[in-house]
Amino acid sequence: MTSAQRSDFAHIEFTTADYKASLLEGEELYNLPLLSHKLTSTLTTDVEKFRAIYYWVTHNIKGNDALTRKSKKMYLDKSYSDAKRSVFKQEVLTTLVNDKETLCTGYAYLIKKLALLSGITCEVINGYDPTSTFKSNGKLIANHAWNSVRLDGKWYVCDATWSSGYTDVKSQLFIYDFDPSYFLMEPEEFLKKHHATNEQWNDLLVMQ
Amino acid sequence: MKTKHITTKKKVTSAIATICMIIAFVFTSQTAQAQAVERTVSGVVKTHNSVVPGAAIVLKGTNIGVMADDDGAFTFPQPLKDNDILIVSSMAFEDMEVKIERGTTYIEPFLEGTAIVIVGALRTAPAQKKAIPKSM
Repeated sequence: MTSAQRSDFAHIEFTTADYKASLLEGEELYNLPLLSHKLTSTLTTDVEKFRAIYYWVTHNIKGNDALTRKSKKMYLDKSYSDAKRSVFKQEVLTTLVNDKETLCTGYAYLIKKLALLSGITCEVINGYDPTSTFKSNGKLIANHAWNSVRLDGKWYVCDATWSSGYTDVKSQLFIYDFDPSYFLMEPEEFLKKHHATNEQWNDLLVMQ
Repeated sequence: MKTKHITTKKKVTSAIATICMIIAFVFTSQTAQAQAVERTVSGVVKTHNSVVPGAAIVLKGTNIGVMADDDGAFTFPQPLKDNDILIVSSMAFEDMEVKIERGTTYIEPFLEGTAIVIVGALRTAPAQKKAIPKSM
């Protein structure tokens, strides 16, 4: 049983990928195929291409606490109709494009789209922190989203939301604070705080 | 007499066959030419009961592209040929690839709305992060 983690790529330096991504700071989200091309076309390995995408997203997309709180409210309030949820979904996606701010689904979704556009298989995974107390009907429900990405025939995990920074509780302002540890984190460590709702994704990580 | 009759029939059949082959060749080469010829491609990006304003249309593997206008309409800025692939993309939709073929000059890519489900009641930071900026 082998874990799929960042050390699998110990022979690859990420400084080039990070540098290329940093040159594109401030780019907009109106043309994702173009952004993906700019981020990845001069890099030769999938892991570097994915790193460039990950580095760019975590350094250019802010966490929007208001959207997170609204999402939580919608979760707990069963009276929210499908129509209202659909409107909220559009609000999240429009805010992402126009303001480059989002909640965890937005981070994961953007990573997935950019990865797919550069030919890398990537999925959005919904799940929860198994140590949290956020429950609905007594069950732990999905309240977070991250990515699984396929590199060199194996599935790896990452959490762009947590890598990007945090919201200052007092000011409610988002602070960029890059934490690279969530990039291709060792599965056993990752699973302590990230349990996928679809158990197959958890099983896959430990059985590869 | 008999020999002369057969020879004439043979000549006519041969002539007809030759003419058919020439027509077929001209037709095929014209079609082949049309496919190899670069031409302007335009179109409208559509979805269920609507268009997709501002959709991005990019030639795969390049940085050449255009944005659809408020009516979802676009004209690709570079002439295209058969087998060129366009990527059609918009945030709220599933991206798609469209292969240019059969000499077409007009396409109507149809995008499906994204199936993504919004979750996210968790705060944006992991538990061990400090609440105050590091620089302070």
